[in-house]
Amino acid sequence: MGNLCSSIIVNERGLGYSASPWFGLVWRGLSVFLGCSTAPAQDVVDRSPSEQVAFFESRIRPVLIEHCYECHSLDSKIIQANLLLDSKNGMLRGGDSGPALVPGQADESMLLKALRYEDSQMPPKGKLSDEILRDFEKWISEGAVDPREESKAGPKKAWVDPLVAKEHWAFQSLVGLDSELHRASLSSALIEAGNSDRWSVEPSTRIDGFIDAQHQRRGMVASGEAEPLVLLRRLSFDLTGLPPTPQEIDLYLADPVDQRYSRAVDRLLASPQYGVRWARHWLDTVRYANSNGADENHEMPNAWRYRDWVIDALNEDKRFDDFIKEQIAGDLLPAPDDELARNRLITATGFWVLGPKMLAEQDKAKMQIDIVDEQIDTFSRTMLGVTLSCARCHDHKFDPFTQQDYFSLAGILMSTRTMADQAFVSNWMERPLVTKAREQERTVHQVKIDGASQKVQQLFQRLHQELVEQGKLPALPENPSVLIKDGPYSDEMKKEIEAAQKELETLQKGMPEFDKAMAVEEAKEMVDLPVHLRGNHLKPGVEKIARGVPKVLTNGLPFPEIASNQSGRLQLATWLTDARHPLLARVMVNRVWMWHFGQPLVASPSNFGLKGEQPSHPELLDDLAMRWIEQGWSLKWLHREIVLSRAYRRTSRDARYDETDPENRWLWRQNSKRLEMEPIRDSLLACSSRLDLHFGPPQAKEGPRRSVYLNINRAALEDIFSVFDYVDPASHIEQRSVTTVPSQALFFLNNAIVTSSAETLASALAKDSQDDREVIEKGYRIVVGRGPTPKEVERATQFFKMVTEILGDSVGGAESAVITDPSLLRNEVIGVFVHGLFSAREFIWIE
Amino acid sequence: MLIGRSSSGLLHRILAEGSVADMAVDVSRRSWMRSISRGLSGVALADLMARSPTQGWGYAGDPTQDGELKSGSEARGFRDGLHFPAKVKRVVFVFMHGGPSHVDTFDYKPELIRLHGQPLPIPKPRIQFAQTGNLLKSPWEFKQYGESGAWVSDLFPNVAKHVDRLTFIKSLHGSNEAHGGALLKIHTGSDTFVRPSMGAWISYGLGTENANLPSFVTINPTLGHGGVRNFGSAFLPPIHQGTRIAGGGKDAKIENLVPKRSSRMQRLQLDWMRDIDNLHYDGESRSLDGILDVAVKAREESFELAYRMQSEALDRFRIDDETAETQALYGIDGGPTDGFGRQCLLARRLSESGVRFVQVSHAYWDQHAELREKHGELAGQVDKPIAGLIEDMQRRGLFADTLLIWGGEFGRTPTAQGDNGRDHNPHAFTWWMCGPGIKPGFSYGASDDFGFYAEQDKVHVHDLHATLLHLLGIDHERLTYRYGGRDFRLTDVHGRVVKELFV
Repeated sequence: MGNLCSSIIVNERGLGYSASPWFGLVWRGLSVFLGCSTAPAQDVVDRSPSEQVAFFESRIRPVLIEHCYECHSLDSKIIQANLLLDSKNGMLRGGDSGPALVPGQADESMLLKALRYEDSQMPPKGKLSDEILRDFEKWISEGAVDPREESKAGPKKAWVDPLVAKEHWAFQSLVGLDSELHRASLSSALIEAGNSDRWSVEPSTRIDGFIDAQHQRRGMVASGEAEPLVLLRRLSFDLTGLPPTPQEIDLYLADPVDQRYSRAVDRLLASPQYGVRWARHWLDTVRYANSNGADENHEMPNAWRYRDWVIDALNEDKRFDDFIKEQIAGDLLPAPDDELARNRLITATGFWVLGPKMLAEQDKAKMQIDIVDEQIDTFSRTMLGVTLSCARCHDHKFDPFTQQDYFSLAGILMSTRTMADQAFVSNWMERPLVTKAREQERTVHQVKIDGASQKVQQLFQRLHQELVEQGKLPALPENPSVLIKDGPYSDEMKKEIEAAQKELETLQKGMPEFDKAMAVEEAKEMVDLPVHLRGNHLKPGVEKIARGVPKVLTNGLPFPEIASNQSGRLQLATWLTDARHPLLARVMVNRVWMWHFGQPLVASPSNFGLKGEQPSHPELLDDLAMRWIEQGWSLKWLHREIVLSRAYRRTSRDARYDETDPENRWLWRQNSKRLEMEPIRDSLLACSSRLDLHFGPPQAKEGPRRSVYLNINRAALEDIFSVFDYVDPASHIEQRSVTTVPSQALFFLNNAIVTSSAETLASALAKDSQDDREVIEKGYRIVVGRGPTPKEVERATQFFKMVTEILGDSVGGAESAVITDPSLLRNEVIGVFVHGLFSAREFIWIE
Repeated sequence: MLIGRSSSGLLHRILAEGSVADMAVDVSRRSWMRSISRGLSGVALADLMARSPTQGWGYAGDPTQDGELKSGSEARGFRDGLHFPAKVKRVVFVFMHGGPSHVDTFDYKPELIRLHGQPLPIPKPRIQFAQTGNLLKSPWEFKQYGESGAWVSDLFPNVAKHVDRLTFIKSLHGSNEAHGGALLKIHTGSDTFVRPSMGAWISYGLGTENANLPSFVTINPTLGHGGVRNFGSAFLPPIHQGTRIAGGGKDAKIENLVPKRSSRMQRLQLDWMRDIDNLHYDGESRSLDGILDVAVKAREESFELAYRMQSEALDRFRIDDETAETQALYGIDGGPTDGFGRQCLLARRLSESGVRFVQVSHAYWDQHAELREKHGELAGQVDKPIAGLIEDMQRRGLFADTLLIWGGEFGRTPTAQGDNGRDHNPHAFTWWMCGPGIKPGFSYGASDDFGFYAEQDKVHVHDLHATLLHLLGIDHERLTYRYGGRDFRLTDVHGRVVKELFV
């Protein structure tokens, strides 16, 4: 037997997770054999050390190897709960829950409790036999003799090499002591962009220096500038989400060639429709919606205030660092004197509250931590560009984020109040938006209520006096100004009472309320959370984790101290918007680039972690981010910088490097982009002159408004959203998908918004045009933003003729009724023509 | 029939002209481009793409053989099963929303009769939806049926006749005691996070069998309790989300499906549209790149498909085409069974036409009170149609490759709410299945003597999902999708294939 054991020991090191299955089988055979050979051992009380070792080797170690090592040894792919059971020290030291065993005290030992399926249930695949449990009980009671030594390698704490992680490009501070050095290294990647007469606007920008440098290195010659009206259409959709109107097209063409583009840029950036367009992009990242979704789909009647806050902030070009700071901790920033400004700061924190929540979850502790998890997920992907929520159940597998990191951030959010209550179906926080005017109204109203209340009291006094006088009451009651239950009131008195009480009630109900916004506030008690083992809130670890952020992100940018009465949200806001922060500016510049070019510089826009994509133009990204910060985080500056670049203005109609760079990674041309659902719907309405451009709250429903104002019901999303790939308003969207599916074709063929737009535009064209040619000219201009080519006019004219014949003549067959009225016929013919234009690819694909 | 973002992101990327996604595979793009120029039509390609996630576009169909789309069910023939041969090719899921009581339907508990009115002798769960009182015996009588001798209550006399074909799981358990959470758990595997629904996963794994119909259809789903998330695609490509058929009775409709113009006018309009595109993208002075060519063609084909879908899908809705005898089988007679009968028949027609996953929902089995009255009424609406569906599928030989599943989001407590109601019970409930690869007339697992907790051979919702995928030829641990930096599965890190159910 001694021989057998030693061979086992030799083999043990090699037995990892990936050991072949037959090895496990051999093992099982051995343990059975050994088990038989040593039984019955229970009766032995005082055994020699060598006997105890033998007992361990035959009865304990095989079980540990077979059932525990997969997750609790140095060779485990993932060491669960930081617990190692492959050495004596590992067991004594224990894991997240504390020591695994207390020698001599079987019942106190967590290991045995777990095997007995008491506190936790191990192994998870099924409870071991009673015999094995008795062995462990005995072994621990007798002092847990264990000859195994700890490997010199020591426990493998992280899956990610800390050095690699520390040097990861995205975790390097943008601005710091070596910023001069960094800048110099960036500039070395920059070349003087070549000049060419073909360009309408000079000079080329710094952006082009970086992009052209790559072309030069690769021997590429990039394509030229897009045609003027292609550029105008591209710019209009990019900046405002709307097509250029025929008037705008005319003005553009009339403007001096060397100035018209930059003038259009200024005009569009100044348009309030800019805020509408870009708010929608932002709303994607923060999972904005108007109902809860999840289990109970309650309406979120005040979500729109956050939406409108975003639109306003973008239109006034609020510094982006403030934009972020206010969403994280607007309520904690120094309160401005202006009450509206103060209320806006509260409204901004709606960011935290908008997520879907399991409101009817009856385990309210679980509900709470799940809400925190949802917040961490949205926050980390949107603002940090990393996937931190992976670290809820275990250390992040690809990134240097530990479970401790996760729970340090979770502590901040647990110390923040997101829910108003813990009711059966719980309610989220909404905070009153206090204004002086409303307060005054309330005071005035309160006076009225007080008056009415006094009147009621006086009434009772009078009536009671009367009752005493009538002898129906022996004496005045102790408190004569309140109702006596079942008192001897006459019918007439009762009527009087009822009327007075009703008046009071009506007034009370009519008290003007403060408006409310979804918003957070500091919790009553601040908490440091322990790690939750395997993410299970019922299994808290021992040690409480100080609130903060992932350690790896604090290299060179320490997290500010949190006072004992603070959640840490204010510190989070300050830390994140520090110009030295490695991620915020890079992540946002990359997103803005993506929304302009259709593809980002870093192809994984919400994952800048180790498994994220490398930037195609790292120097460009850093340079742009640094300059953006220097320019006061102005988004409008960033847009201008990008859209004035040659890279942006290139034509998308080019195939020259399709073989070598099919992805257009090197930006040798512009990409064509499929419009999202919102601009598709908006331009259908705009082309038929029906779009209502009003801003503001849902009450301002005057007509078909821009799509950003549509109600987004998470549990019953309207088809038009999902048909065009806006599928899930319940989580952060890093980039809208683009599909080409028949349901989109069905939309264009049969949806009422398309057919009614076609009809409306058709009757307008019929009215305002002399002949078919003019209809065709105008139709093209309105719908696709350009005039038709001669060939297109020719083909359209043929089409008119064909349709007129079919609809106006019995040749059309029995299917459709013959239209005899010439003006109706003309409308119908033009309607089909316009309908075709709306369905054309060019309508939704922007070059 | 659909063009989407494959797991490699590739086709999507190309069609989007460089717009999205993780470009994981770079290798075969060029060869693919060449195959396109050899004349693969956008749709055949799209069809291929919609089918396979892991084969992605290594799928070795011969694109040059025919660029023509095979219409309707002829388009079958795709290798069934993703990881191993499939027993089941498609699924019909009859979902009872609200939580039908297992102890009043298929899980007979004589102890409830004996201990009626007495306290539950075992502890109640840590978290309960509502407080319940003492044990309540079933208001219905149970009888044994068939050779298998399965116990069924008087609520389901018609389904009872088929017990020898059914496979019961009586030890199901979930983890959420509220409707919303439980629905999401059943449909998406998670009551905590936003995850794709099982129909979407199956569509993603196996694609569609009929190019003219969606691969995942849900008839009359609830829009509460998770709503669209229960048939959503979450982070999977949007093409895999369930197509909702609102209503489902006489008023069944899919958005935008009914043509606004005559077929002839539509034809003319489609030709005109194609000309607009061709003139624009193929103008003399403009260069035409390969990518654009494919994209324009693919879009054109999607319109042609839509044009055909209008007639094929609408044709599937015409259940009046069925014989009077068949309609009678489903209880389509204007009475209480009419509505659900129509939905079940529609489900059969869609499934038979190659829709991979069809769900039919019926509501609302949530009897905290009025158990006797309401459960009776609801069972009266569905018993005959479900029995009809079993009989009809049997006659047509559909059970050769189609699995029928019945169940709710949870069961109900054996203890009473008031004197005529039961609370939610996610700790034990019963589902049954019928179809190939599983043992007919068989019952697996058991709840305790009262039906409060699953006890013997417990089957978690994750296990059910794993088993379902297995029958479809999918290894639940290998059907993954990378999103936000990690691979996701329908079964998360759980799931045991309940092989004991298999023949």
